[in-house]
Amino acid sequence: MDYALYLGCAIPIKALKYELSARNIAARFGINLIDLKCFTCCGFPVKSMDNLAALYLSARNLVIAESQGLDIVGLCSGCVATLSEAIIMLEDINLRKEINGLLKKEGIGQYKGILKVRHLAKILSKDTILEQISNNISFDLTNKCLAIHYGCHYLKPSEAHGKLEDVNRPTSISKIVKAIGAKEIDYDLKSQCCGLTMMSADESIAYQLAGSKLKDIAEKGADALIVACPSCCVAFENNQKIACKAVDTTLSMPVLYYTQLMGLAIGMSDKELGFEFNRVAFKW
Amino acid sequence: MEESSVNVINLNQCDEEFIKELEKFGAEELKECIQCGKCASTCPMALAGLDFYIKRIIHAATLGLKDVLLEDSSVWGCQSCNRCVEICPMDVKPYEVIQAVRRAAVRVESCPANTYEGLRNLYKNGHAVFPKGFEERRKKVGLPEKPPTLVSHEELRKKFQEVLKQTSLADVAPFKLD
Ligand code: SF4
Ligand code: SF4
Ligand code: SF4
Repeated sequence: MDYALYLGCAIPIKALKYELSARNIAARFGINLIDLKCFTCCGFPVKSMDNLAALYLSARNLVIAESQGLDIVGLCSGCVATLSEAIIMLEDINLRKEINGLLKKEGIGQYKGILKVRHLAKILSKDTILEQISNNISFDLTNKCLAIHYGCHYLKPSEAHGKLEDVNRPTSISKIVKAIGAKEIDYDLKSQCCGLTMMSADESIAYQLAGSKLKDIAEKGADALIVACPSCCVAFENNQKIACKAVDTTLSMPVLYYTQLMGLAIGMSDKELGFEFNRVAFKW
Repeated sequence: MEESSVNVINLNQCDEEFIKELEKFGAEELKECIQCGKCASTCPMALAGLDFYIKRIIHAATLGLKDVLLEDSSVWGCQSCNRCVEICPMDVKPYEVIQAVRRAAVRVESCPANTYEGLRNLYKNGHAVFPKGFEERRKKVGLPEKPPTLVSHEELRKKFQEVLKQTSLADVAPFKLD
């Protein structure tokens, strides 16, 4: 299976453990992630400035993959949602014409609308891959209780994600946790947001959102939190101390990407999984 | 009478032009809002206790309360999580209203100080986040030193910059895209 790997802005700079573990785990399962030359930002950061410019940015990334006959695989939930939304917006013929006009000026081809954009977790949670995982477990995680934070953009807007899973009862990452033999815990605040973007309006509210979620999973006995988005990871891992303080608690809750978790289960090395970058140490 | 002990809305402040501006910026279904409050029931900002939360923002927008909307920083706290879009029974797309208010705000420089920083980076490098010195760390762990993106291709980057200059980002930026 060949896919164009779309990294976006944050991953190659702030989420090396995610990029490393994603590249390595994909390779293990015969998923060929191809680096294409001239991707840029997905357009999300300028959405609040100008819709058309943001759409042009999304479209130019789509075209770069599409012209190679590839679908896109993304790692950041925000990027995947933004690119997927663009596909829907570009169904509008007039808008597509306008955007293709800009793409022509850049000289990178025209958008046709034949590609798909998927989050890597959606691909790694396919039954065929999960079966291989279950058959290749070399590290016992059966006594681990894991909490999953799906995050907002991984699921919403549901229209953009092709309604692949129920936004209120997501299952993809849960299936991964099950396949590696660990136990998924349920918790009240499961569908709550990480709060990171709230930083711009009210820092204390942002920390409270992340903190209350961490507190909730700790009370339910979680050994770690599993995430699928670099921003969520910042909210729960980088900001953990201060987020916990905001809800009057101190915790040391490991935060792992689903890719790291899968790699761990099948015995990949710490180096391949980028564990040196995990800020909350854990001895399993 | 004492002012501001209750939230009195002064209808003289309504700015019809501003409503049109918001509609132009993407809040197309604004007038469909029935103030049912479902958006607020699911919005993380509202649940976390932000005073000026989504239902009230929409209300202010439908009344064209320009100053109220542009002076308050609440719209910048939106998570873009789309919970409100999923739940709104009138298909108002409340998140698009937030974006429309932001689009109006950036044009009068009424936004968080770091808003334009991303734009500057984006124009220069094709990426909104771009701190110095990260290449070393990538190399150390065995990843391609420079991410294989537009950063590594000067010629193509120039063309990209030419196009960006032709979008309205050039008008929005309080500096010259150069
Ligand atoms: S939880 Fe936070 S970072 Fe993750 S998708 Fe939601 S808003 Fe984005
Ligand atoms: S925007 Fe939609 S959900 Fe929110 S109050 Fe208006 S009609 Fe109700
Ligand atoms: S998109 Fe923004 S306004 Fe809508 S529910 Fe999420 S945080 Fe609230």
